[in-house]
Amino acid sequence: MEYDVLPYTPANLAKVLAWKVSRQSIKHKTHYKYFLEYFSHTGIGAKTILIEKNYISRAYFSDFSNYYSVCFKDYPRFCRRIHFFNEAFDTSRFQEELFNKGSKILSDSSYLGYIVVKPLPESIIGPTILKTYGNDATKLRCYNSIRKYEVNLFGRSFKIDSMAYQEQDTVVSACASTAIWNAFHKTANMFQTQLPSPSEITKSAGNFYNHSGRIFPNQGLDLSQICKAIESVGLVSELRIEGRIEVTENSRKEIVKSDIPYARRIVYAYNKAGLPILLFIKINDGNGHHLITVNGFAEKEQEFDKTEEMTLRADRIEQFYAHDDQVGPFARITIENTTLLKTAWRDAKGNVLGGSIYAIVIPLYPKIRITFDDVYKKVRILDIILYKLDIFKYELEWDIYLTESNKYKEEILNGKYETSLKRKVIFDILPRYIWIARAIVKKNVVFDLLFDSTDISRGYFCKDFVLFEPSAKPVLKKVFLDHKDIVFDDGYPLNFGQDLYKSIKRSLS
Amino acid sequence: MSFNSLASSTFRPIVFHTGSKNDNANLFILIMSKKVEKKASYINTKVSDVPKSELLEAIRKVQEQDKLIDDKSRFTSQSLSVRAGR
Repeated sequence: MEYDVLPYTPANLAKVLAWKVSRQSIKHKTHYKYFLEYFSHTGIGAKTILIEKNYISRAYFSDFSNYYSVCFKDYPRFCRRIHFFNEAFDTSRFQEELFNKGSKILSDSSYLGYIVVKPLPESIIGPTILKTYGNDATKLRCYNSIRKYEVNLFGRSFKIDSMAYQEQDTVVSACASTAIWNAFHKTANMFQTQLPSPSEITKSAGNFYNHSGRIFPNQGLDLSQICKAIESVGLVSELRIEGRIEVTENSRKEIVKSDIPYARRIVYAYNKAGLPILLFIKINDGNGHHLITVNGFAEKEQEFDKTEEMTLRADRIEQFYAHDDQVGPFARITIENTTLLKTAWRDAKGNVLGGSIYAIVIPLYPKIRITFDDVYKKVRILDIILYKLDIFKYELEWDIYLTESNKYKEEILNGKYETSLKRKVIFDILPRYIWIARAIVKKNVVFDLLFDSTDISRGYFCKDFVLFEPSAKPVLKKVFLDHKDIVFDDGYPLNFGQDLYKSIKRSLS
Repeated sequence: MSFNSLASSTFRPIVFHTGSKNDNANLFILIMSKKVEKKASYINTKVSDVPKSELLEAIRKVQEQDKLIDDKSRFTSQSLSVRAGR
């Protein structure tokens, strides 16, 4: 038969993953332990496993062509695909339901996704698409980098929101190529760029001979190679490095002091637009660096005291979600303090390993030129002016993020705002991507500043001002009109320009 | 034209209908009333009077702190050659 149906149990999960390897080795795999929690009733709640016995995976096929096909040993071309459902059914019920068009057990709501099992020794987890956890009362989970997939199975199709994941095979790809492959699944969907396989990514990274070894078998990519692989598909890399290498005559010393508050802000700002973020981390076990793909975050409710320091919505983030090829999809990376992360890795005794951020790489559409830092620095100045003039009774919280202008217009159009405000925004001519700096006090949105992401950082890239709270007009006049020179004039730090002055003046009249 | 379309950010229409339901000829009285904005409770009523020099000094201080951000974009080729390969 072309398929098998099994009830979901930990033993059956081990059985289906152990296609070309022993069950014992599967049970020792970190991924197996991770999936046990993921599929459990506290996770996404799997009840049935369906094994599709012959499946052609495009990513594996390309890797097969680039490496395995020319090995002396005969590696198979076909994979197995393991599907998961949250409804219980057996083979005979599946056969009936397959021909029932309105079947409840074979529907988008019952389908949980799949894992491709590769016919390789050890590295068996191929392309994997799984549903994400839902929100609960205690946690707001934002999986911003997920996208729609359509999965076809025996003539049925299932729609699922996820982000593709796979394990490195240690031959054509190490963690870096795999993390980039994860990220490309989203960027290809966002920007219509290419989606190369892990082996093609490794090849495109080139070899700068900073290390011993060859492209294949691959032992990892350095930051230059990571950026080059990103550029090979027509994107650019926005790179920030926290680590420093100090080389003296006698030694080479690496100093990594993570600035996690900054990382939290930059990850939030770009990830909210859906962009995956590559985190180059150093795991505190002395065994080198690792690349993971951040695809979301969890926020917590928090009250901030009114201080001179700037507060951002991003400061609420307590966890990142990341595809970690050595652990599993949507793995939790917890923020421990301002310099330390709790990674998803464990030592031999089962203790969670800490880590620090060495670098951040954001694969970007080339026309997004204005950076988070450019916007942040402008808003930081405005924040201190608002603080000094004592405009608000409570702490002002800024929500700074990149977004598509059409999404912004849709949000305003569907919001509970006056028609005049909606007209102002929806008829505004805007570039495809804009930066928003939203001023919020006690959950009340006061105003938005809109920044043109395609402009130049020395130009007047703050494009528009949208006032949501009309009663703030008198106090905001004191800021924007009484201190016109500081905010708008050339030669002063904000330098918002005369066009914006006229626009704000109209809004506040 | 509907009465709603007369509303603006400054004025709101108040309409009185003087006829009964069965009257064929309806008479409306329209009063354009000035909107009174209820001030949001989180906004201070009085703005502090801060001299321009003090504001510029505060801005200079935060700009000084923000220079640390620029360091994240400055690195050597040594820093770029660190490899991720776990």
